[in-house]
Amino acid sequence: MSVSSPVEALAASAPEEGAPIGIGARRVVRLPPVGVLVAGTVLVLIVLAALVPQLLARQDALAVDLHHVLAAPSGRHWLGTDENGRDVYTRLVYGAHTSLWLGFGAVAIGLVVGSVLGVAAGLGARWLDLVLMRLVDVGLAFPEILLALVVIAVLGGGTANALIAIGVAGIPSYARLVRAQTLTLRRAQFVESARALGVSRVGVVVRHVVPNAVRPVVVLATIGVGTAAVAGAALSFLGLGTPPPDPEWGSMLSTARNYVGNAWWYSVFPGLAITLLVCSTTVVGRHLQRRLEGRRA
Amino acid sequence: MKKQFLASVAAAAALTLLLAGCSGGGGGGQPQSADDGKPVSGGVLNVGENSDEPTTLDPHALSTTNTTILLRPVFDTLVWETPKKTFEPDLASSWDVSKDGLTYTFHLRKGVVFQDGSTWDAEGLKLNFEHILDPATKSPLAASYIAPYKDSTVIDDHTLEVHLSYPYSAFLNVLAQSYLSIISPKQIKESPETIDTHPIGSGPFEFVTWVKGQYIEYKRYDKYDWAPPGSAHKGPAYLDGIKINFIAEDSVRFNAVGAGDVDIIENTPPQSVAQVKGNPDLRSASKERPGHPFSFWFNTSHAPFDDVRVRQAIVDAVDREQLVKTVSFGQWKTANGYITPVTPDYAANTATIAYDPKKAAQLLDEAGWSQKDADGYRVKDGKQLSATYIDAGVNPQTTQFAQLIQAAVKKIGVKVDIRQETPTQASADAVAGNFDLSAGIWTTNTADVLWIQYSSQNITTPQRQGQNTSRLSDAKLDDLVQRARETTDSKERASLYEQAQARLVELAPAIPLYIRPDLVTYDTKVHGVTFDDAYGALVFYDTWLSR
Repeated sequence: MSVSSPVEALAASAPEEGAPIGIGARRVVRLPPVGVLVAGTVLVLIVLAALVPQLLARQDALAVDLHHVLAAPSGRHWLGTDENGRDVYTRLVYGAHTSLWLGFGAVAIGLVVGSVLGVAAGLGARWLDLVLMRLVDVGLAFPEILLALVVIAVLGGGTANALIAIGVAGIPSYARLVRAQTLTLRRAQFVESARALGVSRVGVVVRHVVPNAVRPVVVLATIGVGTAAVAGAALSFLGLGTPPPDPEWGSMLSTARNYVGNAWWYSVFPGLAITLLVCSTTVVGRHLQRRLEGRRA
Repeated sequence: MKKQFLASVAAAAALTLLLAGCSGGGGGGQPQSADDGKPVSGGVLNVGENSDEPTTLDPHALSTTNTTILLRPVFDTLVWETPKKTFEPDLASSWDVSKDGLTYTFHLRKGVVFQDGSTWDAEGLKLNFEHILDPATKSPLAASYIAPYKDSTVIDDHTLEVHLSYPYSAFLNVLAQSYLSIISPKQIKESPETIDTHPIGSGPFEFVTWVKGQYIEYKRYDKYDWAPPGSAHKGPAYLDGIKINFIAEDSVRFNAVGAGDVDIIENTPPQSVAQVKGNPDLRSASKERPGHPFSFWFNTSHAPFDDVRVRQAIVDAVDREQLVKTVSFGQWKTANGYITPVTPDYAANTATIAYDPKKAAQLLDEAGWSQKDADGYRVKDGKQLSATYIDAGVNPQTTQFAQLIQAAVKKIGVKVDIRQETPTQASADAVAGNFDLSAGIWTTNTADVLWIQYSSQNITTPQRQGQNTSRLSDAKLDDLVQRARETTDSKERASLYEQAQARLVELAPAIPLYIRPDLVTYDTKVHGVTFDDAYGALVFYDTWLSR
């Protein structure tokens, strides 16, 4: 369940800033590398599936067909059927909504709350920084999935609660990251210049510190989307996320594991979907990060 | 940077694999051989059991189905049930029942010696009854099964006269179940606190050790010479010992027997039975369990299921035959009534329950649910016809049934919401009556299960937890099941239970689904796989391993 957290990702990426992907990559800078294009396409498809599933799948994700249970992939059922005769492809397409919703929603919670706490700690009084960061330390001491489970234990299961749980679990890492950025910016020349030019304290914070502190974190958060989606899948896998019969990749995988010996397609495709989502968000996120850092340098 | 990316990919891929588990399918296609040859002694049998690991091994303090397999090796019971649903001597060699059904005189078998050296006598039986009813035992099942027990008088060393406070026709039946096993009287008297962790009985195997979360070990009891009737041999058991391993995950347990890590498993996933048939190294056996079939109970105490027409409509709208076939891959039989055919006093000719969605829709119209809302669900007085099912996620097949019922009744305009809860939450809601549908099964070797499940006396109240899950309250049924449990005339009892079963079809307090069998898979080196008829539990006394 270990998936890289955005914080580690930033640290690891720093020394490699601007490294070329392939020979000649630097010369045709405008066009992103093939890998990024592929990942981007996958991501666009997944987003499309989440927003307008009926565009990609014509069947009913909940339609039970007891005469075609665990049917192998065919012209009618591209990715086969599940234990209730439901079309696996259609369920994957409709399940994208939940997975992405979990991914983006959870990241949004983590990012917004984490940024507020991070900026407050970075700019606030010393005691506030001390208190907030010790709390963050406690949060960081637990693996995110464990924190999410604790939140679920309090709130109960379901998609919305799973989203909150994963979001809350992500807060500490974002808070820590934003605080670090804020501390650096606080003493940056352009901030001090702005102050010297007579811009108000609030003006400096709003116009200079917050945008510059949060922007790199936002890009990194795209990578977090994949992580959060996997966490959501894991919660559903444990029966704590999306309740049946609604399709969700993690819960599909969870049920499918009982039929690995009968129907390989049932477990392989939901697993592949999760893998693709994580890979493509990671690749695209990294690319964006590289572009951004390049510009800054 | 790349490393980080690869790590994410690897993590995601590993997650996928991990979550999906790895399974090896069985090959081959040889027919199963029944040629078992001559039994030989020796060897330790490795058993794979599911996660129903109890917190105690005191039989009188247990209640879950799969714990019976842990008790049969160590303990004997007072009477033994035969495949013909009759009761024969085990630790009691004979008994007399008074005409009024209030006095049972047990004549005990002579020469029985417990694993701690103590001898079997009338005082010992009396101590066992008292241990069951002792509040300190906290018996969840055995105590209620012998609730009519008043007191007993020792007539001589081997004769005990038991007095009941009211006639109870299922008394002998329940005495054949492992939950009413006979514990060493010496242990009850001198060190009752040790029963939980080191039980002592008079059965064919002695308890050795219990590594919690992992396994329980037993070794042969060499003095054993009082095998129950119907056993294939006499004297001590063939096996040197038994090791029962707890393997929670269905697919992992099944793969363990395929790989030879264990010799025999219970609770074979039904979807894996075809693999057993195709594997020349494995065999399968199954035994149907007596009692109430696996069902979805309606909460009849509030709307919408307080209306019998709505309940009947739901039962008619579900193609139970097809559902059971789908979920069990053809391995389970559909239940056609409220007790299973292997239960004493089962009546085969009660009205059958047929799949009839047209009639279902008609019933709902009659009940006033004739309008439909924008989503196609029926409404009455502005209220949608909907019900909540609480899923504790204990069993994948139960969740699947819930989804299939949900899809089936949607066709007649009834909405079912599946609410997932933790087992603790779910049982709290069950006690409080916060549900419309609840799934379950009750295994017991007497039609008295109808009294347990449907007598209005057994509806849970703030003072007392009862087992009438559907909260059914019907005067006619109450009378039938009450008289059936009190009569001493077996013909009258059978007739009363027949009427009760027919009445239940009319009342439709549940959707009866399937008769749960004990599906066992074992290696071809295992022979003499047998079950008891009182519960359908595996018994290892006649089991042996070929070299």
